[in-house]
Amino acid sequence: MKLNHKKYFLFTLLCILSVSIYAHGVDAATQAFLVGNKGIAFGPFLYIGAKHMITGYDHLLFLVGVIFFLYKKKEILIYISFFTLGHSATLLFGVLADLQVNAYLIDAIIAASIIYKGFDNLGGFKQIFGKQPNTKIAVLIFGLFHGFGLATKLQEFKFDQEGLFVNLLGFNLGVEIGQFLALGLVLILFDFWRRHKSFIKFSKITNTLLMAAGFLLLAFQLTGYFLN
Amino acid sequence: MEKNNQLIVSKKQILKSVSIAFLIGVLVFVTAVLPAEYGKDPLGTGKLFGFSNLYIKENSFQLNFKKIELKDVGSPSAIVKPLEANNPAPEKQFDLIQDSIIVKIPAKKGIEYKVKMLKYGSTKYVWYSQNNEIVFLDFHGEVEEKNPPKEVFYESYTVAYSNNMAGTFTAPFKGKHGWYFKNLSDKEITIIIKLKGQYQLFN
Repeated sequence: MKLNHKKYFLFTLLCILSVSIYAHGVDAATQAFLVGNKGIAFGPFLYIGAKHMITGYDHLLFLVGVIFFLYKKKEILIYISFFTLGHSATLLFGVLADLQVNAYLIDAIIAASIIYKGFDNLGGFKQIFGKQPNTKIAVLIFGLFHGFGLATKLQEFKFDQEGLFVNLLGFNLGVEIGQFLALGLVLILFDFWRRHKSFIKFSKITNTLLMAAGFLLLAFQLTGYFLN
Repeated sequence: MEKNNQLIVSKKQILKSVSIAFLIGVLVFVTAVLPAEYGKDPLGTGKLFGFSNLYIKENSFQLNFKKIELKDVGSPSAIVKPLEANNPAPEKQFDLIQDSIIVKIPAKKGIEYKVKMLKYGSTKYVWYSQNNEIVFLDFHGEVEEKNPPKEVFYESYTVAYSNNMAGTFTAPFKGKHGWYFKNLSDKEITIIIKLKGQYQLFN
């Protein structure tokens, strides 16, 4: 039984890793669709939104950090609602108002959000600064930045203005569906893992690795910003 | 009791964790991500583990060719079209034949392949590169002249970057018609040309 859990975890981890190879942004086929699209296309945009969320490892890493120490369903729901509220607002606003924000800088802030969450989970704010920022407000604020990230990804393709609003709603709904699916998978894994002693034992390592991933992404995005 | 949302970790431990996280992040970034994504290899690890190859590979897929302009079409405007171009078409064209020709273009070199055609003779053609490599090409013709000057007149029918092209060609004048292929890569490229129509091969 014990072995089974480990295997299951490893398998899922491999699935996530293989998906993330495509990683960020939008792949060539999707890009061709976005550029060539005319008018309303609710279904395709919904799909692109969901795909972006499931293959966007930075959003996922942040969410893993957020739910790491959330045991109650109600708490998870509250935090995810804050995140969803934040990123939906800026996604819709960013695209409709045609706000151009540098994608590298936004992604760097998203990377910083991962570092923040890992640090927060370790209790770093209380121990070192003596005060912990309100976690719900932090999730909301970083949600706003994640939404700007999504908006800039979509804006990279100067697609048709016709049917923009409907397509945008489709994309946003897709993002929520993708987030729901990815989160569901993560929660199942966590549920298994939390029953083991290894969860507490490894939680320090896990959050340290979360921060490491954040530092890596931060360096990646900042280099991209300064080179381009 | 609401919250137990954090670990109880000592200050020292936290600082250690942050330092380790920072080191891992920077290390992975400098040794692997930087060479693979940005083509920069400060420690030589990209070359050692082959990460650098990823960058070059991805870059070579970009179709970032020089834009073709009107001035790239045909011979320079100073060279006038020979009068022979106005000769009438013959009563009888070359017999209908077909061929399959293999042309090998060395790395970074250009090669011409041409056939003889009479005025208004018609030939169907298709060509493609063996491994779908994209080449620069100038499909053009030269008028047959009694006393050709040093710099001959030529007319470009198609100038493009492609890995494959097909069509029917009707010669506007008697002379040599065919392709100039330029290999833009570091490896030899094989082009296969198939012809069916009223033409004659050289040699």
